[in-house]
Amino acid sequence: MLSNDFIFGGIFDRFPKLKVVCSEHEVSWLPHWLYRNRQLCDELGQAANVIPPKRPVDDYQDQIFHCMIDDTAWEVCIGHANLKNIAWGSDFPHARCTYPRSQQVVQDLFGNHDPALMADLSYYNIANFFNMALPETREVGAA
Amino acid sequence: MDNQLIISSDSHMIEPEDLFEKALGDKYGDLTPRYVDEHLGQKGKHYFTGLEYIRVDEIVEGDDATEESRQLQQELLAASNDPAVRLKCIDKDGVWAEIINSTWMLYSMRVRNDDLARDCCRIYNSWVAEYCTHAPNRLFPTAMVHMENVAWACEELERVVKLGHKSVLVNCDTRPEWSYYRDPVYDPFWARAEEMNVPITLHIITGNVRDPFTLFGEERRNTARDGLNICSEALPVLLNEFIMGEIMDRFPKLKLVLSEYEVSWLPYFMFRGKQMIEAFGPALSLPKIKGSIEDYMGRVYHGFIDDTWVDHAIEAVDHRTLMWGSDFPHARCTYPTSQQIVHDTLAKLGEAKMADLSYFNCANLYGIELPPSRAMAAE
Repeated sequence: MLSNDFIFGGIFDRFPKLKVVCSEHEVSWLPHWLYRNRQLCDELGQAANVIPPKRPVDDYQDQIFHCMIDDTAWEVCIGHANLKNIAWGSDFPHARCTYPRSQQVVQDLFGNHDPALMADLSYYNIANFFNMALPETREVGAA
Repeated sequence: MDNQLIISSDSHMIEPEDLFEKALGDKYGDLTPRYVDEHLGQKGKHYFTGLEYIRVDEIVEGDDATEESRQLQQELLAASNDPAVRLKCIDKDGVWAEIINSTWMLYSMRVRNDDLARDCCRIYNSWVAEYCTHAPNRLFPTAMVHMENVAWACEELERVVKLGHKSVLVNCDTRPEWSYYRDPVYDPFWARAEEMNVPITLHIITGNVRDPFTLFGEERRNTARDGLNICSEALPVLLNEFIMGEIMDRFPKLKLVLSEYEVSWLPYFMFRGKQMIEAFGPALSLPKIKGSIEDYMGRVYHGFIDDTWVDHAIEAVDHRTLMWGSDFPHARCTYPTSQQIVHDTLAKLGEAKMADLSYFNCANLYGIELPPSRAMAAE
C-alpha cells in the first residue's frame, strides 16, 4: 500500500505535505523495502515500463513516520533511514506491551548508542512529530 | 580487482519456442503454453503460460534500443537453445557453474489445469536434464514439481533425481483450494527429499501472487504492490508452514532454498520469527516447536542477485547459507558484468566471505565438484 499507492500511485506527489504513520509494523524491514523500491524505480520499473514517481524514492521517506515497540534488529536502519522519523511505542495495554518495564526495554533497545539518539527515538521524535508540549525536565517523577 | 571464478545459484533457461506444443500436440488445445505474436492488440512476441501472457522482450535482458542491446538479447536467447553458446557466455562472465531454473515453467506452475501443469513439468524436466548433460560438471538443473497431487510429486521426484537434477522447485505457496504444506498429506514428499538430500527450492512467481510482467494496461499500475508481494511471498510460507507448521521438526535434515527473494529482509524475519516462536505462539496456544529460529534457519539457504545490504543479512544468519546468483538471462541479470557486481556487492564483507557467498556455499550445498584453481582462464 505504502509503496504502490502513496509513492508509485502519486498520492505523495499530489499532497507533498501529507504524512503517513506506519504504526506497529516495526522498522527492521526498512532497508530491504528501500532496496526493493529503488529497484522498482530503476531496472525493474524500466523493464516493466512502470511510470516512476516524480522524485527519487528516498525523497518520500520524510513523509513517512515509523513506530516500533521492541524491534531487536532496529539498528539495521542506521545509515539507511532518517532516525528522526522513528519513535518507540509501548503498545500499552496489549499482550506484547512493554508495561511496566518500558524504561528497561528502552534501555535494552537503545542503551548502546549515543544518549542523544536514545532520547530522540524514545522521546523527542514523537513529540516533534505531533507538536507535543514537553515538561521542563525529563527526569522521571519530577512532573 | 582480482577476478576469481564464481558460481551462480540461480540462473535460468528460456524454454524453446515449441517445447510444449511439440510434446503435447492437441491434448490441451488453446491452453497449451506457447509463443504468440500479439496480446490485447499489442504486437510483439509474447509467451502464453497457459494462464497469463508475458512480453518476451521484457523478460530477457536487452532490447531493440541499440544494436548492441539487440545482439545481447539474441545471444541470451541462443544460450538457452545451444549449450555451447551458454558455456561461452558463462566463461566470458567468469562463472564456473550454474544452478539452472526454468523461466516459462515458473509461470506455468500457476495454470488452473493441474494435468497440464504436471505434463509441462515432466516435459521441462526431461528437456533441461538432457540440455545439462552437455556440461554435467558445470550446468545443474532444478526440476519443477507441481504439488497438487502428492503421489505424482513423489514419482516425479524419484524420476528427476535419476535424470541428474540437483534440487526440486515446488509451488512457493499452496493454492487456496489445496491443503497447506504443513498438512501431513505432503509428508511423503518431504521425507523422500530429505532421504535423498535434495533441497526444496521456493522461487518467486510460482505461487498465488501475479508477476507484474503479466500485467497489462491499467493493471500495471499495481506493479509495486504485486512486485513487493511476489518478492516476499515465500516468507510467510517458510515461517508458518515449514517452521511453525513443524515440517522442519518432522524432517530434521530437510533443506530449503529461497531463490530470488534477496536477503536484506532477514534481520526483520529473524526478529519476527523469534517473536512468533517465543511470544505469540505461546500466547495463541500454538503447538510448541522443538527448536529456535536460529536452529531452523541453519537449514534454509538464500539466493540473492545484487542485494546492496547483504552485510545486514550476515549479521542475522550464518553467512554459509547465502549464495549469489546471476539471474542469467533475465532482465535484471548480472551478465556480462557478474565479476564487477559480485565485487561491488560483496567486497565489503572481506575476501573469505566474498568467496563463500559467491562460490563455496553453493558448491557445498549442491555437491558441485570444483576446478583445481579459482583463477579465471585467460581469454
